[in-house]
Amino acid sequence: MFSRLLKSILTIANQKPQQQTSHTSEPQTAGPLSLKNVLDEFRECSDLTHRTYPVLQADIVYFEHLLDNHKFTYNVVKPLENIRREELGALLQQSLFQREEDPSKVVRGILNGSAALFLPQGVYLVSAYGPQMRSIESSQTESTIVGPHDAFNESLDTNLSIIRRRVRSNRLKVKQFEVGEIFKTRVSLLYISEIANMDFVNRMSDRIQNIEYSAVFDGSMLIQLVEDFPSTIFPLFLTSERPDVAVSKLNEGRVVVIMDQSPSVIIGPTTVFEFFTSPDDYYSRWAVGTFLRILRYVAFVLTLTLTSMYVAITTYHYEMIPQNMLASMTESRSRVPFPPVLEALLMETTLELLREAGARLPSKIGQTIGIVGGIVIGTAAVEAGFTSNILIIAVAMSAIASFVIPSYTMSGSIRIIRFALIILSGMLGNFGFMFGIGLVIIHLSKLTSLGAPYTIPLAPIKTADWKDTFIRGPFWMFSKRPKQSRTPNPTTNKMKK
Amino acid sequence: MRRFAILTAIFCLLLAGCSQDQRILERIGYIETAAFDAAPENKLKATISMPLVTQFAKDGKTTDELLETVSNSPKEAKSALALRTSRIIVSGQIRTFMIGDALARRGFWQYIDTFLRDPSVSIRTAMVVIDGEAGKIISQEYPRHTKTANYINKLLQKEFNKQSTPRTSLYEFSRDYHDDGIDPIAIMIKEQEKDITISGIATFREDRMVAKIPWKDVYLFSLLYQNLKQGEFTITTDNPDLKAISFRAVRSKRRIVISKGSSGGYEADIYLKVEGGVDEYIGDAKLSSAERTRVEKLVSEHISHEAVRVIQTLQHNRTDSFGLGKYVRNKMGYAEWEQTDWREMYSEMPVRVHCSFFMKNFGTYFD
Amino acid sequence: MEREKLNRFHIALLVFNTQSGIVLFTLPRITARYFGTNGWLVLIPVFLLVTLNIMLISAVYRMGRGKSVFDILSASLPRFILTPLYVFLWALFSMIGCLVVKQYVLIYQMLIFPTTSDAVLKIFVDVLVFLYIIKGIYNMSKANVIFSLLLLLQIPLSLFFLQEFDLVRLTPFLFKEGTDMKEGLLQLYGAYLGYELTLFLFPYAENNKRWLKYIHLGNGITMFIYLLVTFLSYGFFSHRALIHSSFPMLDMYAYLRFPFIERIQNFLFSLFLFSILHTAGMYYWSGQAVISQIFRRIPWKVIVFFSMAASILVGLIPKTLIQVESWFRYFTMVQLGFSLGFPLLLILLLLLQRRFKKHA
Repeated sequence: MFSRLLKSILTIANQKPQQQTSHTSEPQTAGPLSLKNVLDEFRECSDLTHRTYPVLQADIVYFEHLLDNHKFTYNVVKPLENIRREELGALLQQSLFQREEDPSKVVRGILNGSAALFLPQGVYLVSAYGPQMRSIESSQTESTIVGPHDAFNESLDTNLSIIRRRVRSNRLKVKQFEVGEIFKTRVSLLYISEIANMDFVNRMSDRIQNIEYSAVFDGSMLIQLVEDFPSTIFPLFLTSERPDVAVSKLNEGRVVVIMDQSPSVIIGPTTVFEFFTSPDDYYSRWAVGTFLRILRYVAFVLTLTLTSMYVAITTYHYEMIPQNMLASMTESRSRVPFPPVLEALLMETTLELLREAGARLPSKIGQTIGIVGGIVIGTAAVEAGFTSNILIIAVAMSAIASFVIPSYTMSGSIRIIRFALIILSGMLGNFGFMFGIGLVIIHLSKLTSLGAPYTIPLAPIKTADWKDTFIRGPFWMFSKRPKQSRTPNPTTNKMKK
Repeated sequence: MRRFAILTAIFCLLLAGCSQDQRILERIGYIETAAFDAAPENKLKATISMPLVTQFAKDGKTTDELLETVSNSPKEAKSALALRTSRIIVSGQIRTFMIGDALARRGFWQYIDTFLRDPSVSIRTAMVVIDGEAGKIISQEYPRHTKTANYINKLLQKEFNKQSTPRTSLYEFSRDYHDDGIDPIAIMIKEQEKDITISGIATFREDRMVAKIPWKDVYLFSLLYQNLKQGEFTITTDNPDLKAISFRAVRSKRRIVISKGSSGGYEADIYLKVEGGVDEYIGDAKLSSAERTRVEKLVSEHISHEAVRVIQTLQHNRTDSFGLGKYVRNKMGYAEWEQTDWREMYSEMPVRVHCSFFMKNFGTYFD
Repeated sequence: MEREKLNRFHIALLVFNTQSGIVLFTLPRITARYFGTNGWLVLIPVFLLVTLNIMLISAVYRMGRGKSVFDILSASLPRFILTPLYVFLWALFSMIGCLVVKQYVLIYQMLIFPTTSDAVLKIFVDVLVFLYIIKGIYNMSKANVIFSLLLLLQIPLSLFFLQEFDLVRLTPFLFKEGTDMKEGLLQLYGAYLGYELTLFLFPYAENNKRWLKYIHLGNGITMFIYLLVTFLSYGFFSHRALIHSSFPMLDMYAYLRFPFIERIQNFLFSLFLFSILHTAGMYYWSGQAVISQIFRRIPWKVIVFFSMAASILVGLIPKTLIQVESWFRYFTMVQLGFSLGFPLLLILLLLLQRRFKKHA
C-alpha cells in the first residue's frame, strides 16, 4: 500500500519537469539555426560564455566550466586568433571541427562540453570536454592491503581509460546509452566480445534503454532500475569501485556497466557468493585466500545466527545451555526486565543507531561516537540491568562478523534478515528460526541476476566452480570460466578461432 | 502487495500464537539434582535442588532452593513442589538423579518411566545410588566445597571423564535394563564426615539393587566392564616385591571368549590386556632391570586373581553387571538362548580371567 | 525465457529428500518392533524392491520416449475414465502432503510447544510449503539442493556415536522377536515412498535417458541414510531398548554434547522442517500437476492454493499422532498400489498404442 502510494507520488513529481522539458531543454526545430536562436535557448543561463571575433565574424558559445582550458586554448582560441580569413576554410576541414546543421544538436553539443563556433560558413562544434574532476584516488570503501590502489572516480572517461589500460584488446566493446529525460546521464556497457554471452549483453542494454526514471545518480541506483526482482532485499548485481574487480569480471564473461558521475560500476550477472569474495583473496597465497574466504562464510553464519540463537535458547530451549554457562547466563539475565526478544532488539537497534551515526558523521567525530557507544553499551547498559552481558557479547560478535563481509550492500541485506530471525526466534524458538531460514532459502533460489541463477555453484549444483567459491584454489585450477556466464569460450587462456 | 499481505498474516499469527510455552531462563527453576528416597507405604520422598541465582548479586553467587515432598510418583511430587516456588519448575537441566539405597533395593523402574517419557529430561543425566538417604545428602551444606548439587555433579563428571568408574547415566541404565544380556549398574556415593565420596558401584538385578561393589574393587570392575583409555589404580599386596604400586594412564582392552567346555556347559575366558605407566612403586624389585617382568607378572596375577574374586561375588549375587550374557547369547542360537535360564547358568558358569600387564614406563626416577 | 531443464543431480536429491523425512526418527523402532533383532537388514531387500519399481517407471519413460504420462493416458483412455482417476490421485497426493506436515507438527508440539495449538504451527509450515511450491518445480529443485545439503551435513555427527557403539549389542540373531512382518514391510516400503512422483517429472527432465539413473542414485542415498541411522541405533541402544523408544534418533541426538551447546535434538529436529517442506511440496505439486489436466484454464498457483486449503481442512480431523499415523497407513497402502499399478497401466497402454500404430 505504502509503496504504491509512494510510487504514485514519485511519478507525479517526475511528470512535471518532463512537461517543461518539451519546450525548454529540448530545442524546437522550428527556428532556423542561428546564433540568436541558440542563445535564445540558453536564455537566463548566466554561466554560458559568448565570445565574438569581429575580424572573422565568428562567435563562440560554450560553457567554460565544462571545457578543458588547455584543449580549448590550443584547439580553438589559438588557431582562430592567428588565422587569416582566407585560411579559415582549410582550418575547418580538420576533423576537429564538426559541421552541424541541426539547432537541437548544437544545443546538445554545447551541453556536452563542445564549443559552438558560429561562422558565416556555418556552425561548427569543437569538442573540448574536460571539466574539473577528482583525480584517481584509492578506494575508501573497498581498500585492500596489497594489489592496485587506483579506484574509479566520477568521470566516465577516466573510468573507461582505467579499464582500457588494463584490457589491451580490441575485443573490449563499449556500448553507449543515455539515461534520464533531463539529465541525460551517460552510461556505458562494457563486455569482451566472444567471452561474454550476448544474451546478457542484449538483456542489459534493453533494460538500460527501458529505464523510465528521470534522474539516476549512482550505479547503486541504476541497479535498482535494471534488476530482475526489484523488491528483493538481496543485491542482484555486484558493485565495485575497483577496476581490478571490474576487469576480472569482464574476463569471466560478465557485463560491466559504468555510469557517468558515479564511481561504482555495476557487474552482472552475479551470484550471492560473489559478495563474499574480495580481491585480497587473489592477491594472497591461495591457502591464505581460502582461509579468508572460509572465515567470511563463518562470519556470515555467525552474524545471521548468534543473536537469534541467544533469543531462541533463552526463551524456549533452556536445556541447550551447557551447565558451565548456565549460572552465568541466568545471573546476567536475571536483572533484565524485558523478555529476551525485546532485549535483543533493543541492543541491535542501538547498534544500528551507532553504526548509522558513525557513518553520517565526519570521521573525527565518528570516533567519539564509537567511544560513547562503547562505554554506554559495554558498561552502563549492563550495570543498569538493561541487558545481559552475554547478549552484549553475542551482538558485538555478530556486528564484528557483519563487518567482515566485504560488500556493504550485502551486509545491509543480512542485517535485515537478522532482525527478522530475531523476531521469529523470539516467537517460536528454533522452529521460528528454521522457518526464517527456509523463507530465505526459498527466496534465494528463485532469484536470478540478468536471468542467470543467483545461487549458481550451489544450486544448480556446479561442483567445478566450487574451487573458486567456497575456497580460493590455486590459480592452476582456474582454467575454466564460471558456468554462470555461459561463455562461448569456457577455457580462460585460449580463444576459439 | 500479495506478498505483503501474506507476511502481515504470518506476523499476526506469530503474535497471536505462541507465548504460553515460553521458558525464559530467569523465570524458570531448573532442577539440578533430584533425589528420591523410599518412604513408608510404598511412597516416594522426592527432594529437588534448584539453583537460585539471586538478583542484583555481583559475584554470581547462587543458593540452592531445596524442596521436599512425599508422593506416589515423581511427577506428582513435581506438581506438589511447584506450589511452593515462585518459578516454573522444569526438568531440562537435571544433571543427577540420586536414589537412596532403600529405594534402590525396593526397585524403581516405575519411577524412571517419566524421565524417559519426558522429552526435556536429558538421557545423559547421571544415575547415582546413595549409601544412605539421598534427600539428606543434598539438603546438607558442605562448607568446604561448592554448593552441594554442583559439588556432586562436578565430582561425578570428573570421575566419569577420568574413566575411573564406568559412566552410569540414564542412557546406560535404561539401555542395559532393556538389553537381555546385561544388568544395569549405578555409581554409589556416600557422605564421609565433611565431604562426599564415591563409595562403589551398585549392581542391579532388573531394577532392584542387589549388592555393592566396594570402591577398592571398582578398578577391577572397570577393567572387566569396558576398554579403558585412561585411568589409574593402585595395588597393594603383601609380597615384598609388590608392596604398593600405582599406575597412571592405564589403557586396557578386554576380550571375552565363550567356549563350550568338555562337560557341555559354556565357559568364559576373559582376556585383559592392560598397560600403564608406574607412578609409585614400593617394593624390592628394580624396575629398570629385568626384574620388571617379574613385577609385571605379579601385577598380572594379582589382577586376574582379584578379578575372579569380583566376578564370583557378582555370580553369587546373580547380577551380570559387565555383560557376559551378551557374549554367551551371541555364541548361542536363538532358540537355545530363549530356553536358557541365564541367571541360573551365569551363577554357575566357570569364568577365567587372563591378564597380561605391560609397563609402559616407570617415570623419571631411575632405579 | 526458455524453460530450464531439471539437472540430473537435482533429480537425485529431489527423490532423496521426498523419500526421507520424519520416518527417519521412527525407522529404528519400526524395524526393531516388526522385525526384531537385526531388523535393519530388511531395509536392503525393500530397497531392491523399490529399485525394481523405479525400473518400471524408467520403462515407461523409455517406451513413451519421454512423453508426459498425461499424454499417454489421454491418448487411449476416454475423458470420463480419466477425470475420476485424476480427481482421486489429486486427493491422494494432497492428503499425503497434508499429513506429512501434520505428523511433523504434532511431534514438534509434543517436544516444545505442549500448549500451542498444532493448527497454528501447521499454518506456518503450510505457508512455507505454499511459497515453496509456487516458485515452480525448477526453483524447487534449486532450493532443495540447499535443503538436502543442510540435511546431509548431519552425517558426520554419526561419528560421535561410535564411542558408545557396540557390535555385541546387535546379536547374531536374524529377525527374532519380531511381531508383524507384513505390517513392517508395509511401513518400510512406505518409508521409501516418494520416488513414484518422478513419473510427473518427465516433461521437466532432460531429454536424454541418463537422468533415469539418478532416480536410483537418489534412492541409494536414501537407503544409505536409513541404513546408517538404523545400524547405528541398533548398536547404540540394542533392539530391545529400541522398541521402547518412540523416536530413537531424537534420543541419539539428545546424547550429543558440545562445549558450547548440548541437547541439540530440538535444533536438529527443526532442521528436518526442510525435509518435510520438500516432501509435502512434492506431493502437493504432483496433485496440482494431475488436477491441472482437468482444469486447464485455472492458473496452477490458484489450484495449489485451493488444494492446500482443502487438504488442510480435512487434515484438521485427526487430532493425535496415533490417529495421524493410522491415516497415514491407509494412504501409504493406496500410494503403494499407485506406485506399482500406475506404471504398469502406462506400460500396458503404451504397448496397446504401439500395436495399434503398427496395424494402422
